[in-house]
Amino acid sequence: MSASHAAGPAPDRLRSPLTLLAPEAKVVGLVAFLVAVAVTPPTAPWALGAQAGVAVAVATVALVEWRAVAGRLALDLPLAVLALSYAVAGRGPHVEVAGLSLSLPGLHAGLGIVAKATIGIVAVSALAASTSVPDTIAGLARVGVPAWFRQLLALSARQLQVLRGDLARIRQAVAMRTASPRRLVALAAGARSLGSLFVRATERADTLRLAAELRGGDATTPLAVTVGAPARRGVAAWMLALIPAVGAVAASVVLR
Amino acid sequence: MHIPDGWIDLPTSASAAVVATGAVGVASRRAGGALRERVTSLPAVVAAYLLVAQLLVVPVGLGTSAHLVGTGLAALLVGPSVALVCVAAVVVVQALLLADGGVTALGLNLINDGLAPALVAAGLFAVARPLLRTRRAQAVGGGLAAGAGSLAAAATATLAFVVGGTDAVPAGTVAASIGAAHVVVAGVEAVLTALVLAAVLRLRPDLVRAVTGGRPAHEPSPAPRGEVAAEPDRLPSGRP
Repeated sequence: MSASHAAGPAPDRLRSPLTLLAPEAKVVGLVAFLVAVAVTPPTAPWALGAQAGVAVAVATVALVEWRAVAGRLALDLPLAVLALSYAVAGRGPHVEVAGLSLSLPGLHAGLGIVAKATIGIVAVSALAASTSVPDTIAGLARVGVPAWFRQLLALSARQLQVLRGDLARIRQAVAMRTASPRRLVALAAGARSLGSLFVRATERADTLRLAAELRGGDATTPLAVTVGAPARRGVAAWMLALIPAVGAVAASVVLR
Repeated sequence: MHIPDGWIDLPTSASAAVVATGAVGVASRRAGGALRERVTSLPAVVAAYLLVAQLLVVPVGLGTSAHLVGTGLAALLVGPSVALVCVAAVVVVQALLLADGGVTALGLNLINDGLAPALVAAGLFAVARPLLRTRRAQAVGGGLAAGAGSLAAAATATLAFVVGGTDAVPAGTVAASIGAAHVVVAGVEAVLTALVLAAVLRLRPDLVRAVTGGRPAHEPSPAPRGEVAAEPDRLPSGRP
């Protein structure tokens, strides 16, 4: 998460053409697009390729940081191993690839999984890059997510920033006291840091609760979530947001 | 394990989403005290804590690494209901705000990383609690319970695959590979949970709900802060 995830409009935030689109339309458009990708059969590699193209195009328009996306795609590495195991262990018919006898359905299924997971990460990155956290949460309000859960999301996102800084400080302190080149010792130190982080975090939760009570608030008091720039709403916004999903459906029908 | 988009077919994912939404609804009602009557800071703090705890990565060989999922730990610390609500926040924050993907698999991940390990870990620990008298035994027992929760997650992931995975690969092969991977993952989960639990039990044993037995963990404790609090059991009265 970057500093732009603080509440309110951040001046350092890049404005992409998608930033001003209503966040609820973007969320619904994202889910529709991913559903269209999910129902595309893995035996249609060209359709998946075209859908990947749509995702990359939208992400480019949304000005995603490709370096950050590449970091998230590291999540795909275990999936690549899984895909390989599908290709090796799958049912027949088998094909000969570089001297190995690989299962054709297994190869399709494995590549399909890697492709769909990658498309998912790129597409979600487009939403995250073009929408601040308060905007996303305000959008979730308009698609029926209950208030207590939105408050939970907003507070979690904020606490995540706080705890990250805390953990870095605690780990440094523990590492300096128990410096050891041995991995197991370092691991135990890391776990001990997590233990004291929990204690600190819970004590902070107490403080927050006390502060809110002193100000006369309770859980029924809605959090003040400031929404940044006025968003583009209306039929045009929804049609714009659903273009990637329509493209994905078209690709899956035409290139099957 | 974090189920990505596309591993499980859409009908299964959609049914899992319905089940998961219902489970979170029930859990939020059961956790009402911590969620609705007070400012929702404790679940939010625990959710953020789980996200941060996943940064502690353990290399397990073959170039891959495991990390703490933390659901079992959270279930022991704050109870299974609050833990499930926290995991719901974690998976949504991961999918939408941190852009880790898995939007269509949200429900599956909630069952897999939330419901199954939280219920198994909290249930096993509750059964074994009378036997665990020392803090060391409680930490080790908690670790084992969390490890068992992780194996339960492997079982639900396998079930999801059998119901909604591809039929290009024999389900037995996939079950075996998921099981083998999760033996390692569960071991890591057990060791890390035991270590974290031991640290919390040493600093603030009153915060571990599974040990105190149902007393709300977010009640302000009379225990002193700082280094003095580190060894309260050495003081005759428990306080300085």
